[in-house]
Amino acid sequence: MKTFFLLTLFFFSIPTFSQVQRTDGLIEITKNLTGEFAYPKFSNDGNKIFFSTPNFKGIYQFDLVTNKLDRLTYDDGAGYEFILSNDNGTIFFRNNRFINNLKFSSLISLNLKTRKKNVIESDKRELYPPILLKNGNIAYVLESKVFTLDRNLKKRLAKDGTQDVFVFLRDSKIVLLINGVERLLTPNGEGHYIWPSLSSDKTQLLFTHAGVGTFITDLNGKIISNLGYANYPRWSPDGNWVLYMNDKDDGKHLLSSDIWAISVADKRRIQLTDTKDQIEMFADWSPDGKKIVYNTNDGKIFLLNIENMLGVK
Amino acid sequence: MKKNYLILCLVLIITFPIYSQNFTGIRICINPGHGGNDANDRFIAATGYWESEGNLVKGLALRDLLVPLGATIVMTRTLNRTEDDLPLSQIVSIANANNVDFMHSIHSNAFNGIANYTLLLFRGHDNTPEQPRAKEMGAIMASEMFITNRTTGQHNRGDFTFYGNTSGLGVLRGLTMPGTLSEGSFHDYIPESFRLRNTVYLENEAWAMFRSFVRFFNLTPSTLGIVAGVLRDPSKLVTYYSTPSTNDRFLPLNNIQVTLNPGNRVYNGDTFTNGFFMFDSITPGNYRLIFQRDAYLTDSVNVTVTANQITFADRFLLFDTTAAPTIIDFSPVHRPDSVKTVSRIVLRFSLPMRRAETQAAFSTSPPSQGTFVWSGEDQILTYTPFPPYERATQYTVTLSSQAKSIWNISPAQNFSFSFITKNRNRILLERSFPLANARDISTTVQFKLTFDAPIFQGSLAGNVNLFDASGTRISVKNVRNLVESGKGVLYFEPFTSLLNNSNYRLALGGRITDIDSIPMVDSVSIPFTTERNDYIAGNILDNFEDVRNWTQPNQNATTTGVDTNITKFDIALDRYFSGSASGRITYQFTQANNGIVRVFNSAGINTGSNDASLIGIRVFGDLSNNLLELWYTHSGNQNAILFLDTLNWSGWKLKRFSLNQIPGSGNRILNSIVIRQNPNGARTGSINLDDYQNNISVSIKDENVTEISSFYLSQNYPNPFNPTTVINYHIPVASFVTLKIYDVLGNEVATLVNEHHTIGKYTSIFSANKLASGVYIYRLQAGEFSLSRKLLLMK
Repeated sequence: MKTFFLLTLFFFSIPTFSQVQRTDGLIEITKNLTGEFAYPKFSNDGNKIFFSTPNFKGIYQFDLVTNKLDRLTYDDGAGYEFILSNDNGTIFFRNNRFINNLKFSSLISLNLKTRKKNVIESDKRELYPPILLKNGNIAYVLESKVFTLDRNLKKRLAKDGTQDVFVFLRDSKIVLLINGVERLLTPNGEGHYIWPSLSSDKTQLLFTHAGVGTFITDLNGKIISNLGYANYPRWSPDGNWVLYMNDKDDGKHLLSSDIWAISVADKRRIQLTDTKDQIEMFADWSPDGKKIVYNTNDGKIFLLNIENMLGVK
Repeated sequence: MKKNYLILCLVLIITFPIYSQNFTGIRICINPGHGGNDANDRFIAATGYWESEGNLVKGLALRDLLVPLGATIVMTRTLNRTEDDLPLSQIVSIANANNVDFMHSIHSNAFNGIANYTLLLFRGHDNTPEQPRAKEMGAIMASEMFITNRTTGQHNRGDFTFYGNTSGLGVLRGLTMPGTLSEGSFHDYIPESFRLRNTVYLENEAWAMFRSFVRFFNLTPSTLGIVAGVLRDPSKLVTYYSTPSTNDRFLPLNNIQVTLNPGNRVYNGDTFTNGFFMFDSITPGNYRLIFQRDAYLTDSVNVTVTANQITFADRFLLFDTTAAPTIIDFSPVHRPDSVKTVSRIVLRFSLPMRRAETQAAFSTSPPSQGTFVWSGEDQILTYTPFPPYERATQYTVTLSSQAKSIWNISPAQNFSFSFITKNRNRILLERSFPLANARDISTTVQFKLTFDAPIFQGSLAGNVNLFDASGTRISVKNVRNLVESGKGVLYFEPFTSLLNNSNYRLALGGRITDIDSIPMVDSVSIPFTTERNDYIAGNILDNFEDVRNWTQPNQNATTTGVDTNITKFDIALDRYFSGSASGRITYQFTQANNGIVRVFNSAGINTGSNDASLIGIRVFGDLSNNLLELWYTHSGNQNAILFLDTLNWSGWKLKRFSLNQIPGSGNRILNSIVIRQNPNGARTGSINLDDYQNNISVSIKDENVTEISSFYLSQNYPNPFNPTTVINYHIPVASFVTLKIYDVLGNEVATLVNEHHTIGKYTSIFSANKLASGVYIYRLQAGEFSLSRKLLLMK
């Protein structure tokens, strides 16, 4: 009850942070916060960090310019693969509801200035996370069909002339949609494919084949590089590096994890975090590739300057 | 009436749909915990149970119940390989990416070998779950599993509270849907561990999970029921821990047969000491179960099956003590060329047997020697021959009617069967280095034993020993048990250098076996003597601590007929004579002849021009019988080849020669080290090189003699002995020496030495042909000094 009161007080007071801890380019974003947080990522302009809770409840925003933090939404499941519009003005996320213990999801847009929500799809059984397209439109998969939203949130089927390449998962397989045409990929054969993403020039595909490893392929699924054990892989903005975590467990509990980067060209690995008492996970790049954000297993969010670690100038 | 009842039951079975639930549209992720047979996959040695295997069987059974009813099931694994043991973050990602309605992780528990309760875990604190629906499901599933597995209790807990932290279970962290983890029972409670080895017991837990999902999604309960139980022997108590005052203390029966009527469904039990049986998907009604097991009295019981419930029918079966015992299984069964000369004879009886009478009734023809072991509650007799049977011989095994059950009943008649042994009953030591009685062996010798078949590693312990002259065992290192061209080859080295000019003995025990368990039978003794140390080191011209100017063989055009991927020169840190490294030439010839490996030194090493200078290089040989040469240039830039030696030794040796043996005149510049292929040599090999030097001095002294600073009397070897044994002793000062044998009463029975000795090491052999078995004392007397030891003669 006491914790609930403190949390409530915090959420409504929207504190300002002026005393972040900085040690060797490491900043703990959540230093003065109560609760546990996870899955951080940058805004497109690099000025903000968004994150959620370990079970994806809600979305939080930390402004790196003003050091202000506020909670954008408390929707259940909102933190799972939400996206930010090109102009950094709107976030698109899903909200989950359980009716008779069946999962129903809604697709919601939230204007960050007005804080006004707009429900795009309501209580759908098979609604998958939204995807940002290069023209600023939003794509999403509903009951195996791909839809797009223009800037006015007008909805239509993606195959109607969508000139873009994007990737999503269906039944643990990789689906590439290339200019409206689907391409189903299982580059290593059967199994579960997770964490797919395209390089910034959209010519290469990065993904993890569960239990096998993390790979880079071309858009035909031809393997270009086997990166080995590399979970939650993330392309660097210039496509030269892949950020990942090397989490280890005993089948029930996490034992350790650090954040690493691997060079796409020569597979050189660089360890970015090395702590004995922290389990670092789920890292993401800043838009300029000079910083990363990640969370620890005890729910803290860290911002780390890696400029000198990778030689990125 | 009975006929009408049967027809009614059959109509019910045929007309009722097997399942009345509809899971269409429901998406569930099933995670069978762990994966593979590795260190973290929870193996119980006492029962042979792997949690990773049991979890998978439960998960696959649950999938097979749900999929026919329309459910979409996402299995995180369907196999049990190491690579199927997914990281927890990947499992969570799979559940999220597939947008399932519920995620369940299947496990069993372990603690102290005593506890055996059912535990369900959801994410959060006990009273504040992160997903209330997960707690709801946890309560349902705990209840169903508790009823099904008949554990001692049920608990539905939040993982934060249970583990005392907020990290909780990794597989529940990060889910976008409710999720639970079940610990259906404890696999380190041995009675439960045995039950978990039974496939239908695991399927029964899958049924409990199935009923839980039916309840969770508010579907119509099953109209069918289950009957299950355990058959035990009330006369036998288990030897492992069991919960007091429960039936777990009685021994479950293997190889049971249970019949369900009407329907005549038959269940055949396993051999994993659980006695468990189950029939599922039974139309509710009255049934009769018939229980049968060899040598036990047949039993039966009426049961009433209820829809969506388990009816338990545990029974005790009683031995038929009046029955004559029979042999229900035996081995070896003869097939052409199939029976090894070391094959065990196994007889499985229908009843527990009296050991002494049954062993006495056992015989083979022709006769053999061997040992008996009883197991399986005295129902299994295993006979292990040693020495092995004769080769290519027909043996007939007979158990006469003089054998008796523990109730003193004999078999109705003699039982016999035959088999023919294979044509092999010994492994052969084909070659050894050193050979027996070899001299001048390196003090860092690498022993090489070549057998006619690959050797079983487990048979080497205690059967390969190196002794010094006093009988003290010398430790060895770098033991490698390899298969080369189908032969078993054993390499090893003394842990530290042996003493120069000393006697040693390599002893191989007869229990060394090949991978087919064929033993060597006869022990082998290989005595040898190490080389003398009669030189004083000269000027080191190359210590081979680094590559310096040596180049790779494939960089020199003279190198020919080699595999360039393997053939190389490098610096070895794992073997050296002095310093911390040595040069190493590794090579493989690709043809039968004419191969050359030339390691060229681009700067050359000036070895001098003094014809009297003694030159040397340390070489660790490889027993390849290839030829080692040193190539020089001399005045006028002429080339000269010095044949150094045939590579027929192992261990470090100083290979010496006089400068005047190198053809030519003036300064001799070493420019190459060459291995020339011998047609009779090995195609692969590796030699090490160290301390190339000149101006070596030779000493005529035997350093071991000068090292003797005290009297020494060794323990005789062998001991016990019959009839001869060896006694070693050292004399540090010239003196008159006697070595005499006394019996325990102090009577002198033999004089072995009675003469003047100079400083040195001595050996005396005692032959006790005319003495009786017993303890004797041998006494060394040298001037004022005397020392005694005991020896044991056993005839």
